[in-house]
Amino acid sequence: MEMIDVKSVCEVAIITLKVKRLDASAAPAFKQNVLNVIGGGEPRLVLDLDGVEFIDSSGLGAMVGIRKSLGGLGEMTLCNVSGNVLSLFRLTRMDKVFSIVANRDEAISKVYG
Amino acid sequence: MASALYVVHATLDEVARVTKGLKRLMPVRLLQEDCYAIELGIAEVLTNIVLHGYKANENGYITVSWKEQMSRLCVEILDKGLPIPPHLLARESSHAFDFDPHDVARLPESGFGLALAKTIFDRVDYESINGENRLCLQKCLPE
Repeated sequence: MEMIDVKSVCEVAIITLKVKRLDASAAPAFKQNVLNVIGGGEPRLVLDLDGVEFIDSSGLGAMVGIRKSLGGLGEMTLCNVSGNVLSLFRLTRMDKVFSIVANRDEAISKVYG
Repeated sequence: MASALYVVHATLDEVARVTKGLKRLMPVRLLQEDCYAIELGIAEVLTNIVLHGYKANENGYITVSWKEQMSRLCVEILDKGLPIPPHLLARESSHAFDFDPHDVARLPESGFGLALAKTIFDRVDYESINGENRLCLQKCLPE
C-alpha cells in the first residue's frame, strides 16, 4: 500500500504522508515505502508531516529506522510537525535526534546544506 | 462526566478505533496537548497488548473502561494475553529515553510504549491474576 507521495525538488526527495495517523498499523508500510525511495538513490529527504494528526512510538520507530538507513551519507529533515506530534518527539528525546524545522522551504535548505 | 466501555478484538485497527473514540470523551477542561498525550498513552498500551500480549493473534480480546471522575480520569484495560514482564514494569520510564542522540546506529526503534504511558499518566497500576491482566491508568484533572 502506498502511504506516501514523493516529489523531487533540487535533488531532495520531499515525502508527504497520505495518512493522518502514523501508528502501529501504518508504520511498517510507511517505513518500507520510504526505504524504497532511499534505495532508489535519494539520500536527501524532507519528511513533510503536514496533515499528520497522530504519531505513536511505532511511527517514531519507523522514522528512526529510516534515519539509520541513511547512515552517514544521507540527510533527513522533518517539517510541518504539529504541536501535538512535536510533544512526542520531546517526550522521547527524539527532538535531539531529528532535524525539525517549521516549513518545507526551510527543510529543503537544511537538507541541501 | 463521561464513561465508556469497549470490548474489542485485539487488532491494531481496533486500537485505532478505540483511541479515536475515546478522544471524543476527553474532558473539556484538559488542554489539547494533554488530550493528545492521553490518546497516545492509551494507544501505546493497547498496541503492546496486541503485539506482545497476544502476539498479534486476532482471537484475543481487550476491555477498555473509561471513567471521568471529579478530580481524575481512570482508564482500566483488561486482557488475557501474556502479562507485562515484571522487569519492564519495574524499570524507570526514563530508561527508555536514555540513549545517545548522536549515536545513530544505536538509536532505539521500539520499546517506548510502556515508558510513555508511565510518563503521561500520573498513576499506573498493574496486576496479573489467574491469566487476566489489569492495567489502571489515572490522570489528574485540573479543577
